[in-house]
Amino acid sequence: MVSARLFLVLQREFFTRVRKPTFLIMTLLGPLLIIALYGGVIWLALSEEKETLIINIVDDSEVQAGHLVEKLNRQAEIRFVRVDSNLIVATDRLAAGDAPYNALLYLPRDVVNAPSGITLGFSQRPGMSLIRAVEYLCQKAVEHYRLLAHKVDPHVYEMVRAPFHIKQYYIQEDGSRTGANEAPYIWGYVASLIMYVSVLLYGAQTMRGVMEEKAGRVAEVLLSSVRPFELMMGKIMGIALVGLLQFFIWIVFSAVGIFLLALWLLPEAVRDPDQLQILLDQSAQRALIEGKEGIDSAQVAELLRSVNLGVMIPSFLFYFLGGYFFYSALFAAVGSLVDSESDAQQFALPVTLPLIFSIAVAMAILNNPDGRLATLFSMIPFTSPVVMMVRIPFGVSVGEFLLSAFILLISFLVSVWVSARIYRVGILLYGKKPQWRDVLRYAVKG
Amino acid sequence: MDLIQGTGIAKGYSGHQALDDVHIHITSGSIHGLLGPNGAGKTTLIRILMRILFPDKGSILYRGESLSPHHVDKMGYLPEERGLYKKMSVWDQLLYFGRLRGLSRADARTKARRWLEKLDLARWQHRKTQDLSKGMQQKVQFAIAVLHEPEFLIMDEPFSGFDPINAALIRDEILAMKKEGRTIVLSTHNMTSVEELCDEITLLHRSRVVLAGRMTEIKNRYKTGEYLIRFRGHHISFASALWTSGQITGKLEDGAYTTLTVKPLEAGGLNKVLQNVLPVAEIVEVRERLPSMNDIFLQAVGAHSSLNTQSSLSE
Repeated sequence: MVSARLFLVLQREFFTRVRKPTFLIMTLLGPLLIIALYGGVIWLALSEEKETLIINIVDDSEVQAGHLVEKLNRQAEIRFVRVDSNLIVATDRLAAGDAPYNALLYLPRDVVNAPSGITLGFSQRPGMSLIRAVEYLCQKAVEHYRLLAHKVDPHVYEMVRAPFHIKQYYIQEDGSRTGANEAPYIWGYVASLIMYVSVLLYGAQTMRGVMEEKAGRVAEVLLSSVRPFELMMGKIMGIALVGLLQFFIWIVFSAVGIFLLALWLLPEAVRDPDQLQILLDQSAQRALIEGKEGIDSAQVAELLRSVNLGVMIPSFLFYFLGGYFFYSALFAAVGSLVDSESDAQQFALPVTLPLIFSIAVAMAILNNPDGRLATLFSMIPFTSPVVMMVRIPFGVSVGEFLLSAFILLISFLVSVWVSARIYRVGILLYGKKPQWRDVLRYAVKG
Repeated sequence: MDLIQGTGIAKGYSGHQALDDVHIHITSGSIHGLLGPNGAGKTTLIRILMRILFPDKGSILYRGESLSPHHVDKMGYLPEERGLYKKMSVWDQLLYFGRLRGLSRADARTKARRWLEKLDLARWQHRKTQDLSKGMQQKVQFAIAVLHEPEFLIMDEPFSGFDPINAALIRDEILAMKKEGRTIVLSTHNMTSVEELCDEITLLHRSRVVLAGRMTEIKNRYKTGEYLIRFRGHHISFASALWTSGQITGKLEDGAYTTLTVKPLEAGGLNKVLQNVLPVAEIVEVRERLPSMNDIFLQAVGAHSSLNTQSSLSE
């Protein structure tokens, strides 16, 4: 009968929340809004790059390097024309605004030995990436003529200075390797942030739910049928299920979204996963050769591939549940003690502070996810859910994971036990704001 | 037979003793009035009976067994502070609380339907409680308390917030439940309803029981030996005829009729009084003056307060 009542409370908490239109809106539109926000920023940034640079080359160089510059160019945003061959005329036309070009590249006579004489003029400043691209083309052209001057075959030279990256990897306890690149930083950052926001949001929901029942005086009617512990746990578990459902929907949506994205960006890698490595190597090569910064589609694919989602997702769900139960029990106790929002803020502060601290710690340990600080805060239940999310993408030993999980589990039980004692007294306390020492007494004596 | 037998119940909060050595006996099948001024400890006692709170000391027996969780399933509770989920429909609310009280889904549905009809709430069953008037919300709350047909029902101020028609409806339901053999505790400040409904009372004051027992016994205990004599005639001639056989303690004139409160003083009592006054007054009604519950309440609480004051002064 006991569990049946707890189940009834849980059911009510779950269904009343899930049936609300806000749940559907938040579940479906929430991530879309975030994506739209980030996407919008990226789109704005990218759309700025779309400007076209039409460059009039004034080529005074002995070697006629302008031709090579034109030949080397692969960028659609850069076009070369040769309308005016006189620098003064070209400058005047550009200044007057009636030129069919918007930039002016001057190659001096001794461009091979004195390339610093190369100038790029414009009436409106183009984006940095376009300037860098022009610089890169000039540099490659000058390099070419210098190699010829020193009788070095440019093909041999390309071969000699072929760039390479050192591949990093972790050696796991079972001898297997896992990749080590920037991806874990990104995963750690994102997962810890989601963990922090989720625990805080769902914890606050528990607190508000308890407060509503207390302020609406439903608590007393409920307590005549249900034990305070059942009422509190039913609420906590019902809201946890709401969170899990929301995560489940997001995971399914993300999986579908990622697959569609991959199909769109890298159809060859979707058909044959081995292709991805080739694409990645090409991408890395290109980045090094062109000196280009930024993420392309192959790197995005690597970001998704480089983390073991089979470990990441269950770990996230475990730490979410552990962290949520640990914190929401405390939030429930706070909710039971207060009648108003303003009092709630005062009592909630000692509960939210460690959570805020944990995200600060998480950001700090991104630089050294295996350091002593990281290990220490992985064992403290107040910080472990958020901190472990930073560390898991980098790989955490099974022993450490189990110890952290065990401590969190025990702490959650203690937190529920203490909170239930406070809750039992607090929920029936009206009109009197308890002092901290009263709260301590409720926790000890019940 | 006692349904509830509470002995030596004590409960303290920080710096305040809410109940001190309280004894309470509630007869099975009776309506028991739990009375007392504000802050006397009634709500704490009710919460202890409902096992929402636990006493620091004392014991409670339910039909001779130590009060335990399975007894609570047989109890219904209407707290003074009414509380419903504002955004839940009346129907969902009845079903939820009914099921929390141990009813099966089918039972809860059947009983909810019956009570909605009885209390004239059927039209409103799909509305959220926040859309209902206060009186209607009170009726929903009442339905929640009785839905599972408890054998023991505790109601804290059950008539507050009701108009006379609905108050009568609730009173009739309470009496019907008594007829069915259920035991009901009424905690109220409304002494008229106590007079009308209660068979026995427990009066709490300053955390202690100051008066308890069957209503008839208590009324007898508090009666002053006075009689109300209604007659046609002049009250001065009545007083002259009365002479030393009685003392007039009250007077009420009502057109041609006068009602005097008379306390017999001589041997022969009321008979002697009537013998003396019959020649001068046309008597239409004689009845013993029993104290009202209001008088008893004031007297018991007042006497206890003054006693306390005296003892604290002598200390």
